[in-house]
Amino acid sequence: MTPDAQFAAFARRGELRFQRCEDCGTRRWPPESVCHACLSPRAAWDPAQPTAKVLSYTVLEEALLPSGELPLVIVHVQFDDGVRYTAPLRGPIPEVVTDRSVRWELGASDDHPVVRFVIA
Amino acid sequence: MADLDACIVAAAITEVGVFPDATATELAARALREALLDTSLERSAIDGLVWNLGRPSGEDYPALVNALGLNLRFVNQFWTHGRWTGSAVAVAALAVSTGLADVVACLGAAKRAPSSGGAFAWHIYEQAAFAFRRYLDIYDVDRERIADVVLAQREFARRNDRAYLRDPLSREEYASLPETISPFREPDRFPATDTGGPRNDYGVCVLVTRHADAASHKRVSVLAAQGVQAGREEMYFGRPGLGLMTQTATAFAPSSWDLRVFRDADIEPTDVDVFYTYDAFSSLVWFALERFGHCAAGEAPEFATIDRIGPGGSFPINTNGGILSEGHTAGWGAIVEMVRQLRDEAGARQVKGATLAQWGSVFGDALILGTDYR
Repeated sequence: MTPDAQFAAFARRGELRFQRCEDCGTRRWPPESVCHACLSPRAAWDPAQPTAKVLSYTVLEEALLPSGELPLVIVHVQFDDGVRYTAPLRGPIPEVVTDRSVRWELGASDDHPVVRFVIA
Repeated sequence: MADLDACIVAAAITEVGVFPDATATELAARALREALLDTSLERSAIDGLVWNLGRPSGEDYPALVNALGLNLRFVNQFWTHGRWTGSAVAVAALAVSTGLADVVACLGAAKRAPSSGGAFAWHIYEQAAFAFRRYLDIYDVDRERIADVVLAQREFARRNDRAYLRDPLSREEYASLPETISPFREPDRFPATDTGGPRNDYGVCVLVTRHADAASHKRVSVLAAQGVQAGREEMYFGRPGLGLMTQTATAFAPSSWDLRVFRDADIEPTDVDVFYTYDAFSSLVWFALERFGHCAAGEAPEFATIDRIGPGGSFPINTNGGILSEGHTAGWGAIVEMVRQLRDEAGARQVKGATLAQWGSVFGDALILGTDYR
């Protein structure tokens, strides 16, 4: 199974998991076939930490996506172990977004698993 | 880098607009014809091609070459993106310098599909917006400072007949617009369709040869070039050091790779008379200025005032109007404009006494063009 397919398979079961190199221990994100530190193809999939911190964000007032309600907040977050992830923020738009702690949740859209964040 | 022996003898771009009835091949041909009229070269003298397009946006090189009646011994094909514009000219300069070809035509065109779909905009926009927001936070900058970039380039576009957006834009009008892709407002990005893709079509041709073979007295020297940088410290539409995507968050200063093009051209950054950069988003101008050491990290908002970078300023930027106002030519409009400026042919936009022009993008690639020194 490709790394992307593996990631999605976990997500369909309600699990958010990220790769870790089984040879050198380097955290791997985005999902990849090999470790960027040692080129090993071997990877373990660790459960994501429950919360992350917002590094940056954008508020879309314009319909750039085929569906979805506007305005839509997209956040770029960092987990404590260094993994960065980008996904929509669910719920009302907070006054301050940057540096906020958020927790992830999994939803579904057209049968595809969708990661979302909510303010923790 | 070994010395280049390369000069641009002709540069032409079509009007930037929406041409529903023209194919990409036709637009490229239009630019090629105009470029050939600008030089004593015959079409048969062209023996090399750098084609800045391919499927699905246009033809791959064999069909293009057949249609244009060319006969070549060197071909290179990129895909259309602003990151490959400087590299296309660099490859042409390397090819003629080393004798792989005698005359290389850099050809480009864009023929926009009626709808490029939401998926296009999604990933492009979010990274640009994240980088701009992060920059504003790190350096505690008022986002309204970016207005100077937008307004300066619109002022240049108003002096450019081929530009797509030529209506005046006031600071008040700009400030009143909603942040549709925050922190960006509509004038902070390339003219877009309602699904987020670029709106404009164009065709471009730049002819490159060696100095000894250039009969034209209007040649412009390619003094130095460097390629795009790639790796985990790079991201789309943000300079290194922002700590986004795979980047580490570090205090930013230009690297020896960033500044190498100046050393190779035997100039200092302060010698540059006029600066050109890839500006699909207004924030990319700030990032490029800092990447190439024209100002320190975090100081671009103070540096890039309309008085300095606009018409009549001491450090004009994107005098064609940039992608923001001339339209999305992937930066080719800037390359053609550099040639016109250095030939003193830029009309109402002419920067008096310009002898050195730099192309330098947020991706780290650069060109130094100069009036003929040989």
